[in-house]
Amino acid sequence: MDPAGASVANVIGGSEGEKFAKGNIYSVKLITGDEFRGIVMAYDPIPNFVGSKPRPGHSKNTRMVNASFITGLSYLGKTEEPLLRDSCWVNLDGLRAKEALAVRQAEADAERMGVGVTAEAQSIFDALSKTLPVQWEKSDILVMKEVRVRSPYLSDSVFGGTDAANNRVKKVLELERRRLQLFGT
Amino acid sequence: MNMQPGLPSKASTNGSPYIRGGEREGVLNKAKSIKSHPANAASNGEAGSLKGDSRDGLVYLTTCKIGHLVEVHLKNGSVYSGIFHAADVEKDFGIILKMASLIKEGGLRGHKARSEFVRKPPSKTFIIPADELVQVIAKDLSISSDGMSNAVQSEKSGELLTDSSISKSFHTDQGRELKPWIPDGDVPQGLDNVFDDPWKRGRGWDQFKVNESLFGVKSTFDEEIYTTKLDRGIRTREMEERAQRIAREIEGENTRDLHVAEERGFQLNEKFDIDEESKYSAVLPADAFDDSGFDEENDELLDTCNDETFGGSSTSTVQKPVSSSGKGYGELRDASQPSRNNTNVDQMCSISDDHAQHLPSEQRSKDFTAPGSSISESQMGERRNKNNPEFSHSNRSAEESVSGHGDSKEGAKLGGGGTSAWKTVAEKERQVSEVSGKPKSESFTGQSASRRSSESRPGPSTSSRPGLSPSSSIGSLSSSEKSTLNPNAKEFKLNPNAKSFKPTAAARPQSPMADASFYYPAAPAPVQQMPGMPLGYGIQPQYPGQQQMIYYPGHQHPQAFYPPNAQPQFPQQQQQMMMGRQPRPQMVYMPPPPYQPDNPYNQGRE
Repeated sequence: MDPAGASVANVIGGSEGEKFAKGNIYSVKLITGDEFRGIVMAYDPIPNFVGSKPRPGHSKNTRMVNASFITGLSYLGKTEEPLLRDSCWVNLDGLRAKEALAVRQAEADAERMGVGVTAEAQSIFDALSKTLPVQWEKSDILVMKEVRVRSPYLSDSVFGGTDAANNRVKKVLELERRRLQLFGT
Repeated sequence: MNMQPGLPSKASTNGSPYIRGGEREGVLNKAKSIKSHPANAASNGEAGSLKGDSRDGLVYLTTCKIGHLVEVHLKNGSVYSGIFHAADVEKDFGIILKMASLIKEGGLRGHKARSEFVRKPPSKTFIIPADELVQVIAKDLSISSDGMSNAVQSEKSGELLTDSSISKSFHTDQGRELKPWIPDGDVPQGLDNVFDDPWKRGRGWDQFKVNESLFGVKSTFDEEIYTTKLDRGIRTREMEERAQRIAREIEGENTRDLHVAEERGFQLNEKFDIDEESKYSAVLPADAFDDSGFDEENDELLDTCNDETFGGSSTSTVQKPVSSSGKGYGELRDASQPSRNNTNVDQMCSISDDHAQHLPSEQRSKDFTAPGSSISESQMGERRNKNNPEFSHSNRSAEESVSGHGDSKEGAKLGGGGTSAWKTVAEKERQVSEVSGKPKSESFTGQSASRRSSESRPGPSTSSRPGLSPSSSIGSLSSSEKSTLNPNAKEFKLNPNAKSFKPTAAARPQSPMADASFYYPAAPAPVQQMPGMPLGYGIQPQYPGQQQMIYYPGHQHPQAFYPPNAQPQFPQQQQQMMMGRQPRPQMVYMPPPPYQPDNPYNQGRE
């Protein structure tokens, strides 16, 4: 899951003092099985956490790792201190705005996810949502607020709505199913 | 944000209870101790007051992650993905995620096949104690020393919805196998590679060239007429970021204008009974408005001006005749030329300019000068007067609200500048509104002076009042709580005997037809030879009836004009007259002819 990018250096315990000095490059292995490499940016023995940034040129994954969970550590080298103390500053408002935005988007996405539905149902929902206004209602897909598609989401599980709407949803459903089967998603 | 003990229960009701019963208490303790503002810690850290430098770096990193989508690995192997919200930097770095969802089940369940994975809704708030936390990965987050770029980066994607993202389906079409299209055989050859490298080959297909060769049409297309050429140089990224920052500051500012607030998503109306009509209608409501403190000045001014021009009769006499007399008078005021002798109108204009403030006034004067329907102009003039108290008042109230709310409204704060920036803005507004008091007294010194003062104001005001968007309609003012009608204005009474404007013939040799309205032929006045005008342009005086005449003094066709009731020998006479003295002394040489629409006014004037 981790490209050979970020690495966090963690000091296990406080005794190995300079082990996680800033700027050190380590290759780290965690108890979860993750392995990665990176440059130590910060370390704090008390919570035993280390922040690291990826080596330049690799993908940019910044991490914070709990040092207690490092199983393997190998020292790779040293570079200069990556964080320049005095020029570090954060824009709080920007961050707040960013968070608010992200939360909004996440909530919108969450709306689209059905609860307790299979992946197949979700893909049908997604396909329908491209052209029709759909929403989840328990495990039924409610199209245009009138037509209901129940599990197993076949053409004959389409109920409700006017005839025209019903037929339309049926048709779209069929075509989408066919397309899904064809492309084997 | 407060961490209440109730929170863990909230997390658990959302469908994926990470916190098991036994751990409740541990979590509660942690919940209480969790610092809800890692931001504070960050600022403390920068001041160096936290224990040890070692904390600072972590705190900084943590802060940078706020709002970012992170993956959290837990001890049992589960992976959660959510938006990083907070971390307990005082204690042991337990973290809180928002909208977290389980990506990978850890523990015994191992690896489930994806298709069987039943989704659960994301937890709104998810607390992870530190001893479960193995690592937090923030993908694509570049921690540079400049924290600004973090925020900016995400803004770029912002909420800009492109078509492809809207119609993007999340889980379909990902494994689709694409096959190249094979033509049937009826396809003209040589087109295969045309679109392959449109840029590298310098646009292999040039429609213009083809058109020219096929049809002989020459194109004069220049892309830059339709679009602004972007200056993509070396420093583009810096400029873009700077622009983003400025845009953010502007958008985050406080505004009192209902429409701007709506665009920005602020809830501005304190009373919620404002319906669409009051928000968007251009018709001013009839109820009273709250105009405290500004009434007296405004009224005095208006009244004195009006008294001067109208001899003590009603205040808005000018406006009504404009609207009711139709095109005639309206055209008199057309295209507001300051050189007009019509002191009535211009003085009203100058008053309006004084009262109308800043950007909106600038816009108004522009509107006023725009050749549009004359009636709307007059209405605008009318409204302008009435809107002015509104403007100044809203200015004042805005600055009060600025200083009052500057501290409480977090979201509206300008970037890092914080409250200090607000105060300077508020000060500017105060200054500007003070300045505005002065020109009022100068309003009578002359039209040009007043125009100058009104035009000079947009300078400082532009920066201090970006909230008032120039494009907001006049009616938008009425949409805020205050009505714009002046309750103390005198009622307009139609005065049919009011003097009309009669320019002397010498004053307007070449004035356009629009001037007409109240000109009526002078009784046998001596014929005046207007330079450049053929003698034959005589008009019979004393029309028996008011005729609609359209007269083009500038045109040199003697026969163009036939007064409807002209005597049949008129044309001949014209020619005769050309030769010398006209045999009919009654031929009055009338300069710009009266354009006299049939209306009661004209008749009243005879």
